[in-house]
Amino acid sequence: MSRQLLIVAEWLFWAVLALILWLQTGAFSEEIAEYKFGADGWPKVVILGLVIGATGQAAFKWIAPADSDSAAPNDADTKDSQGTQAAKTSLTWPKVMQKIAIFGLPLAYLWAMHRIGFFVASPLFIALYLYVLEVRNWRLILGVTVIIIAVIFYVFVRLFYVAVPVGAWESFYLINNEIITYIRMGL
Amino acid sequence: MVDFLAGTLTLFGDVQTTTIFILALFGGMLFGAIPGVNMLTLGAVILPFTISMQPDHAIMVFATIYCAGVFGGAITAILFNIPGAPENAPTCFDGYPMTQKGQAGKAIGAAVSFSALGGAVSAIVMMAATPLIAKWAVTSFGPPEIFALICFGLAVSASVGAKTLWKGWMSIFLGLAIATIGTDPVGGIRRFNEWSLFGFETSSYYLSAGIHFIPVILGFFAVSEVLTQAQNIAEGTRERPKASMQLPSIAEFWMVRITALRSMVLGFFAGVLPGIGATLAAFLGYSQAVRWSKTPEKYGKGELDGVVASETANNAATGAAMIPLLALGLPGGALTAMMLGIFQIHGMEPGPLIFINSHDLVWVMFAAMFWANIAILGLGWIQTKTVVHILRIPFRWLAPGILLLAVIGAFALRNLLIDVWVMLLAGIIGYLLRRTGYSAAGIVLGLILGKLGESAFAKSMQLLDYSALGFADRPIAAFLLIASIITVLNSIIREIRAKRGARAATKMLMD
Repeated sequence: MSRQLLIVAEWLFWAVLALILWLQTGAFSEEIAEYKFGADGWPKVVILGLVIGATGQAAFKWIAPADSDSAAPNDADTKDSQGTQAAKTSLTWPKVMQKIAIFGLPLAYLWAMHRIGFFVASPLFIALYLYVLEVRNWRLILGVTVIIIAVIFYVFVRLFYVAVPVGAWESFYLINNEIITYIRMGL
Repeated sequence: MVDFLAGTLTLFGDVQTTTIFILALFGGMLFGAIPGVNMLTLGAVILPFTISMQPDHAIMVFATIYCAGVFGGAITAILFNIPGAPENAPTCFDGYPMTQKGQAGKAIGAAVSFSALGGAVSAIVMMAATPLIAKWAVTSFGPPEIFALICFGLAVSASVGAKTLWKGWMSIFLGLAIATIGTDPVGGIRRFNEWSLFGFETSSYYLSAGIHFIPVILGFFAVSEVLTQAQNIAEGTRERPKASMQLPSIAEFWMVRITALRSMVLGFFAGVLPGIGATLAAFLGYSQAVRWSKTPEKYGKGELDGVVASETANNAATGAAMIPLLALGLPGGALTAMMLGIFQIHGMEPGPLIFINSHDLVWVMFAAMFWANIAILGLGWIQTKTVVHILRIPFRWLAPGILLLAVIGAFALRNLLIDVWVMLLAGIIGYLLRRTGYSAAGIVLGLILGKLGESAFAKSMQLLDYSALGFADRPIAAFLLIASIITVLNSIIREIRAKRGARAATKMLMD
């Protein structure tokens, strides 16, 4: 994609986002007796700020030399681009799956946690994420999972009484509550 | 001086008081350092037990927890890019890159030393000038001044962590936009709870509580870091940070003296103002360090100055936060509100008379805060020598644990799963932001200050009868607003000059 097209695409992203937000303000543009600007006054100013910022950014980029944006990238950027280059040269199916799993597994974990509860979902997540991060020794996976679970359960559930999701599915709800009872009783 | 010595004597005069002080100190440091719990959690847990405590013990415990808790969050910010509390977020900007460069010992050493220094100096000023400063701050700072200060805070912090000034401003506006989700501060009308687009409609009851900044911070800093490092592991490009024990030298301490002094003043000033507190103090301290530096381009890549600026400022705010509480009975934050509760439980009313009616108790508290900061210096150095070894554990073993901690931290906030989803979404967005040059810090700052800013603006407008010129009649507000405008214009001019310079350099290369 050409540089100009990228600038327009970036501006369009912000403009569309601002337009969507502006349209949503209609749902709460109610008058407030003691406040003249109403509930939508401040959000509209912020949205205008987004549009002005996006337009200013696009204008500056347009008139600036092509390489000025990428001038002096920070270390993280440099490492990332090196990483991307390295990845491009060796992008195999297992690697693609691994990259997807790095993002997908936490999402799946949250989806599952809501249904089967923290105590059931977490050990599975730790073990699978270790596997995704290229830990292949099953004894190590088991050991690290047990240590993390033991420390977190003991510190947060037993010592600090921190609340965790217990699951929406009935059988898992019961299991999670049983586990909480056992941990807090010290068994 | 005599009062301070008497307070110190009470603190260390009997074993019971000293033991309670030490336990509070360790508790504050521990809770401050663990994401998912914080000093407020500890405060809430022990609040019921303070009923049966002596009043001076109860107040001393909370004052000590406050000092130790603000420092504790720096450790995880430096080692894992996870700020223990929002006020430690700017510490991540340079603290974590220092860890990646094998300078974790140096970063933690600086955080320990300057946290203690900022806190101790703040405690001394608090002892000397509480009634005077409190009266000035509260009578001179109404909603228009708070709004102007927030504008100034945003103006000076606009470019923090962003690749360009425009990206910095876009990040701040995005944060301000996210802050409008929930309910409006005047009429309580639900905003952005119901979405309707092209015939598709959805609504969420949970959104009426708004988007809290803690899950966003956890997402931007902790989750996005795990995702980035995990991608680097997958690509085989991850370099393991060295667990260096090298501490800052005397010469390095001397070089950052101006930054420390500036942050101390800014931190103290921000801490005195109710509701502003240590978070804005830390961001202001950091952004001003960048602004006045001769090498601003080095910030965000592991500059010792950045850690010093942030940690000095947030700890300098701790002593200052006690000033409006003690002199006027106005708590500036949640922990000081708990302290107000303790005063009331024990039949005392904070205000100017507290210095007469509860003279001894106040001085025990002052002494506890001073000595807590001195103890941070000693304990922190020991901590530096031990916690750095955590870096020897392979990151792939730590990654799931960090994610689990972040999940617990986000959920424990309000027991809402939506906070955990917000955190994960912020993590993925944070991962993308790193590649596009937008600033996670800017979004967080906009989110934190957005609600405060809107509320202050609404009150100001009602107070000034909807006349913007009313700001001109209030010298502090006018000064801060003019300073904000000058800061914005100055940064735009600098940006234009930088572009022209880049264009000229390109032309020369072409020729």
